[in-house]
Amino acid sequence: MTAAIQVEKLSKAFGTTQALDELDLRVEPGQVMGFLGPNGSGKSTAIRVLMGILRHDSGNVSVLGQDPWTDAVDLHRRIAYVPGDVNLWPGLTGGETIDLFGRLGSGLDPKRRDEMIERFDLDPTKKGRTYSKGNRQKVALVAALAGNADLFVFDEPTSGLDPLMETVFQNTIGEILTDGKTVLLSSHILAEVESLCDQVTIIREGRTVEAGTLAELRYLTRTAVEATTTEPITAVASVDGVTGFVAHDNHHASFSVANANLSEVMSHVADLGIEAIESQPPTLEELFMRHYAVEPANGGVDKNNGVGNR
Amino acid sequence: MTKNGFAGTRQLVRLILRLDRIKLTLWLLGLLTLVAITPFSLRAIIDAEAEKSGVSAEQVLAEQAALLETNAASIALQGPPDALDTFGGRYAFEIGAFTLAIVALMNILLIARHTRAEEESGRAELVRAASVGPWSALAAVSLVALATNLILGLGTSVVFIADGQDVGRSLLYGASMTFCGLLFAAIALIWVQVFEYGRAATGMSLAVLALAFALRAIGDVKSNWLSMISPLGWVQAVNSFGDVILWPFFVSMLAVAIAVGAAIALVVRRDVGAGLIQQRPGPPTASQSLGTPLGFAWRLQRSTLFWWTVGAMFMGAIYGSVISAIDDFIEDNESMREVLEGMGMSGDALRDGFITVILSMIALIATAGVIQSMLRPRSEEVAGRAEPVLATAISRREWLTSHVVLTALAAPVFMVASGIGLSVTDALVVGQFTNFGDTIAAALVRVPALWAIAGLGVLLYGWARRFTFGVWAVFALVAIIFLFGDLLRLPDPAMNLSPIRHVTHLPGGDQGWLSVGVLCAIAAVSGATGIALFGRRDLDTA
Repeated sequence: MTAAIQVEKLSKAFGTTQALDELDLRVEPGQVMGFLGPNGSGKSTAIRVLMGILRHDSGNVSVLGQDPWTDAVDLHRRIAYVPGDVNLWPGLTGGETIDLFGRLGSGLDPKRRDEMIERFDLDPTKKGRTYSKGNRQKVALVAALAGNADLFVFDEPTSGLDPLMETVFQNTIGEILTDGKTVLLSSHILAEVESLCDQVTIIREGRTVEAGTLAELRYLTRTAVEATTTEPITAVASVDGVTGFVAHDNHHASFSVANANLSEVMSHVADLGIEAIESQPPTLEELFMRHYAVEPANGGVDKNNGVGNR
Repeated sequence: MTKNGFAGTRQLVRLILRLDRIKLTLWLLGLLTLVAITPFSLRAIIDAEAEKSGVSAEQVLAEQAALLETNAASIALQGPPDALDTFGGRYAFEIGAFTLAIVALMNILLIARHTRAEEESGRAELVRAASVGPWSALAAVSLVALATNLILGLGTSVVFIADGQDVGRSLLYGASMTFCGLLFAAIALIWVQVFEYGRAATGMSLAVLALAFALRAIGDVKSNWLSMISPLGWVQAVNSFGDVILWPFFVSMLAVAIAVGAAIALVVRRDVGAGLIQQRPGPPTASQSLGTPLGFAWRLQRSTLFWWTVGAMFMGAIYGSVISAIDDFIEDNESMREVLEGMGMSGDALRDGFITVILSMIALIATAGVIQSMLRPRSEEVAGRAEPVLATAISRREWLTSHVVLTALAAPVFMVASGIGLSVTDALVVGQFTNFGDTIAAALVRVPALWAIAGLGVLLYGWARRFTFGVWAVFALVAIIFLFGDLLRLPDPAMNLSPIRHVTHLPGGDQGWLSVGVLCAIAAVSGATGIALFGRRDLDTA
């Protein structure tokens, strides 16, 4: 089966600014791909190339097996897009805008339209100029979700939504996934990414720095361990893969372990006779901080953790 | 509240000056250049004429004054024919009401830009959240407007003094320029309180300007009181180089004070961002027509197109009401009639000449409307609203073409509307229609010129969004050639750059159809190229 989105070595420059630098991205049909990266890392630019709004300088891009630039019109009947900044026409009501996008785009199921308006608690009679940021986003979301698209591209769709609407959004995405749709979701809300996405791609300065399942990504980072042992624990500090070793006393210490060395380190600790142990997998925040933080100095060494593990 | 009502005004003035340093400088330089060119080139023309016919320059001036006093078209465009036998009076006449209208336009745009547009964008909210009083924004932009108009007035006086005019009279004329600007700044200040959107406030202010221009045009041609209810009429009534009257200054001052006072009272009676006119809910679903690219473009443009059509008809109507005055001129003026007959001209030729000038002027103004329609896709792109639409199954070509089709239709609609307005009011005054078909044909023959300018605009837009404003440069060039070309004694090749010049031979003349064809071809080729180029470029998303 061909990928829903396949991007290889995609580059795009604006004048002298290199917005995308050989970016790679692959989304399989039926998948929810989390698309992450710090501000200005090129997420929106990449999405706009996928939507045929911008043309790319080099590399290969295919969306649903078609070229997003030359086959834009055909493709757009099968894609629903919610941009990061939703700007509405001041004189058109929300309802009119939803109908407009539906008719010009991937169609509109009247029943589903009303259901979505109800679900997102949107007043469709208000003029575009009177909507708040969150309500503008709801208009775009309703228009996208009420259509018959196969692929949904969301660029930070929930940044203005309240927690209640955020949950409605997540539930609705869950529903469209059971219908076999594909979703590309750019977001900064990590809890949302964690609960929705099978896979994530992290980009930085226009390059893909990490891609895979959340489990795979977690494996590449470190686990925090706090242990109390019968025998003195200080020797653990010198075991391969252990960093940030802090001895609270001779028998009690905190440290972090590269996941690749986890079983080795754990058996070492076990030999010392475990009285109490607590271990925490890396949080998503830690995962992303690795990539969001300032320029990695030598191939992935991160200032936050102090030690690289690749 | 009142104690710190104006807190932060000084910083806001600095902010406006920083934001507008280039824009305002260009406006002032442009206007002062227009003013300065007038004495310079008029002297040259009159001296040349004097030398040719071997009389003094003053005699030439007096002869021309006699002709101008009966030239309804000139009076309608430029103002009351006062003190035309003096150089100063003649300069003031040539600079005319049209330049005053441009001064008014500068002020309207300045006020709208720094009040309502700021609130609309949400930037005003940021400013108000700082230690800034409720009246500071108003005060700041008013101070900038005051300074701008003072510089303009002083600059104008300096030009006249440098030409050797009486210092006192020159200062008076400069002051009338200043008051003209202040009056329209004050009018704009009121409208921006009433409407929630800069576009509506600007539109209403421009409508007042058009009305003011029209009232004084009728009043000046018919020498009646209508000029005296127009702000433009007041400042021209000062008659700086003839029998000076000063009351218009006091009336203007009073009007400005009342308007500023009203704006100050209104601004604290409404919320930041809100207007005095409230929004009503609209339909929850879209009508069928909104689902097509053309229907959608129509929905976005219809109100602008409607108001321009009304405006064009209104302008035609205003000038139509004075056509019959031309016959009166000739009837009243025996010697004039003899002079004209000696030149082989009949009253009909004079009438046609008047309609030719008026229709060309309306064509020039309608060009601004056509350009505004042509720029709609650009503002959609800038506002970020083009992106989601082009991410639907509408192609770029379809999207842009839909707007261009409306622009193309707007040109003949505007012109026919003005032709109808012109004929109908003339018929109302005279009691019967005169050459209705000819007038409409004459209005329509100018359409290709409007198309050609719009076509160039589409080409620029398709090429790159940032080049689009080049179309206003084209417009400015056409306007300068129309208004000042003769005065500047521009060589023919330069004059011929203006498309409008090539389609002015109706009514009463022989229109060369070649130029009509060439203009249509320019419009079609540049428009089509622009649409094709737009299909290839990145959308501006920054």
